[in-house]
Amino acid sequence: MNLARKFRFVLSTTAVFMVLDTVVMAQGEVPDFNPVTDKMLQNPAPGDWLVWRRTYNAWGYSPLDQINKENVKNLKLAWAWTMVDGRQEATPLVHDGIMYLHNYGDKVQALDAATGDLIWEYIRELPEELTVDLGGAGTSRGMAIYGDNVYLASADAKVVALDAKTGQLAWEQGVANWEFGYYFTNAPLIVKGKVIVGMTGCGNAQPGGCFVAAFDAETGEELWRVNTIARPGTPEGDTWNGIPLESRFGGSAWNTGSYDPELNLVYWGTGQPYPWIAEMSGLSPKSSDPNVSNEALYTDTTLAINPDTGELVWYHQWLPNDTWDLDYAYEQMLIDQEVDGKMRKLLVTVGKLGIIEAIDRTNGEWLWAKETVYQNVVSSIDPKTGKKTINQNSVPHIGEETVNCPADPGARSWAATAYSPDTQTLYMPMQEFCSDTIPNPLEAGEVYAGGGAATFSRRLAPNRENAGLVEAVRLTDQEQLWRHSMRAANGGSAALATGGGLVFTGNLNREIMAFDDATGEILWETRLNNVPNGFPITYTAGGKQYIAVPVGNGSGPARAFSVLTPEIVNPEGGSMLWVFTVDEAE
Amino acid sequence: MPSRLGTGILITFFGTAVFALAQVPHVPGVPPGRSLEGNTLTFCVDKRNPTYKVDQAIAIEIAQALLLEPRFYTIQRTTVTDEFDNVFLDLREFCDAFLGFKLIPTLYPNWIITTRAYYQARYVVVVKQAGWTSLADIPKREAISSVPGNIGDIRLIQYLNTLVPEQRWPRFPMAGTRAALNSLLEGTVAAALVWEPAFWELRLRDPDYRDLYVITPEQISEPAIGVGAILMFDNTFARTTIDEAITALAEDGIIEETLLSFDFPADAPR
Repeated sequence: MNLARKFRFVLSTTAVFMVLDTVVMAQGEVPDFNPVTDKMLQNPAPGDWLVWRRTYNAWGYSPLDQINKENVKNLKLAWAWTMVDGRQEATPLVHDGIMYLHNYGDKVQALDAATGDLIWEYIRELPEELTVDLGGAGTSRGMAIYGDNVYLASADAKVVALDAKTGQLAWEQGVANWEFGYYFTNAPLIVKGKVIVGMTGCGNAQPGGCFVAAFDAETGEELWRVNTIARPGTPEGDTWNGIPLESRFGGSAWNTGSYDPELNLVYWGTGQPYPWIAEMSGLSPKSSDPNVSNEALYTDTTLAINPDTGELVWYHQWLPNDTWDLDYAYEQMLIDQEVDGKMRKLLVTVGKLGIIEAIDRTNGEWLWAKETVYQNVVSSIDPKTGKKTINQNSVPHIGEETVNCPADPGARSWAATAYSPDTQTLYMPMQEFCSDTIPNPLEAGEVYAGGGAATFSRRLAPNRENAGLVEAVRLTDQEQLWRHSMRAANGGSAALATGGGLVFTGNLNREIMAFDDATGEILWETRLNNVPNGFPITYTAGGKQYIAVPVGNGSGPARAFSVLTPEIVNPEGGSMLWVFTVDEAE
Repeated sequence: MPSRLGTGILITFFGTAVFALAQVPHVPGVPPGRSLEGNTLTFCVDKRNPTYKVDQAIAIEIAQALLLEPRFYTIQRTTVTDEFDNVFLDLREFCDAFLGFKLIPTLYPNWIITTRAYYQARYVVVVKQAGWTSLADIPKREAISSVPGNIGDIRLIQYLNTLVPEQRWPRFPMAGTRAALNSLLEGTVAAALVWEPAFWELRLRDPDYRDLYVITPEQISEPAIGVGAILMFDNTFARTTIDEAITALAEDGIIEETLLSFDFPADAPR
């Protein structure tokens, strides 16, 4: 925890509220704003970054190639911008040379993406309690842009629309009660005039779990809601070991989904049941009732949703009855690829286990899996069905110490992977580590029910000296193209792949690197003021390509990974946006 | 009549504590803590804690035993559950000790130290059915609700694990004490496992809960759980001094008298 940072945040925001008594500081207006259309979202201009992972298919890939293998060595600072201190996990958006940047605590800024000049700033007036302690709330992995608005899913569980030209509030819509722990951390996804968001924070105060919901982009009216925990009376409702709805918790939908316009399906991943330890959640031991099972649908599942109606068209559960906190809530990559001689529409995702898995995104049929880092939770995967056989020795039990690899923060976490169509390769920032796990009581005082359901003593994986790696796996044959091993864990830095043949990602040692996408050779690297703990993007402004790298310490995974390499000490605070470019002459 | 004279002598210890705290070296990475102010002892209380009034009454006795003026900082947060990390800021900025924490070994991070218990209470099983006096009276087909992950729940899980599957009651985790009790009132379960002080407080203010019965199965209720205060790790002398006060108050019967005045279901420390 970084309370010094929190306190500074309180002081700074309090001061702003006292002086302004308003939530908008409209210093200027975006000139000649060009509204964002559905067509733009489906096929963005090369220099724009309009969606969390740039495109609906969640590749994290830009075709820009001004910065490439030949000149990336000349990359230098173009401009930098101090951000609000706090857990920083941002993805900037860029449209027509204007950058829209989310800061911790739901401060949003519009910047000239060529110069870093501020155009307007919006400061959300959060409930006082949330300004004292935002915890995981206050962090957003990004925003959305559509029509004339920028959309934010806020720390106080609201969907907020801001005028992209001025930063003025267009509308806001309450989604859930933040006092029960609900909050947003993901970027909204805009599909055909609907703002789609996934709720998180559905721990033990929110029976019935989380949901994915859609709102009218013009008015904020809620249009549909898909529960991430199956209801009794539905076909999947009997997968909760016979416990009633009010005993079912979890299924946080805490990252952004993807969208296939041709199939008209939105794909959204979910997290695990709560509490993590299955003996506590009521999912183990398995009920003797032959009419119930204990997979806990729709946790650790990909949901395929019709965006017009909110109908759940199909689902695929990746990890039934997760008792390790091994979410499958991450980017859902949409890749068309040949499988057994036949062209298939794939959905590829990687959960915290670090196993790459592919299903047919038309119907959820399982296709293939590829293991990457060391793990001991899954002992085998049925090559026909994808059904996982669990290593029972890794299952935590009350009164025992067990070992599970990866540890609960995961071989990968929210730091997204990237896919390059040029190499047909998936690039994954990861770490290898394990946990000696002992289930413990949750409850210190009656309200202090946090602190985890177990003691997780995290350590490096067996026979490993390095915590971090970047893994490149060619998806056509699922073979490793290259691997870069590094002492520092990834630490929360997503990957960015570009048409210049480059892959950017960072690590907990404050380094940001550009890899040759074909060989893994490091072509450029520099050391920053803090961990590149967000989503690097690339864009053009004034015809020139830039690489933007959000930096800042304090996210949960970054803190968890730091115990693996105690010699690496990073400063408090210092959230920044670093923007690099190359001179035209170079 | 319990005597307060014996405990007043502890002021000499506390005077030393103030001096000692001034000598606490700065720990890199940890912001300097608040120092004790004059002759006051400040406690954090959280009104979301169902026992805060009892804790507060005992804290007044502790401070008076030390010839200090008790002050209280009331936590303003309103979320249903809270992050334990928030306690760090509370203890650094607002109070010397935070009242009302269960003294469960291994539960606390290393920046916390705990006082000794100022009372001991139990997890109990609550039923609607008059005449049920033990777990054995609850039909096996009926479910028991509990709050997942608390020490009583863990004891229940461990007990159920010792039984053959057909002898186990279904266990339904619920979002809190009120939810567990409501599931009993609504007939979802036949019994609710709850923290008895929380049940006491709910029954005081909600007549719906007054016609429920308590049974205390030893597999779950024993041993009793100590409740005390928590302090920052570098407040060791204050902790020791408060412990001395609790010991003296217990020996003089003052804690027992306080608990009785609330008709509170807990025992004074022995």
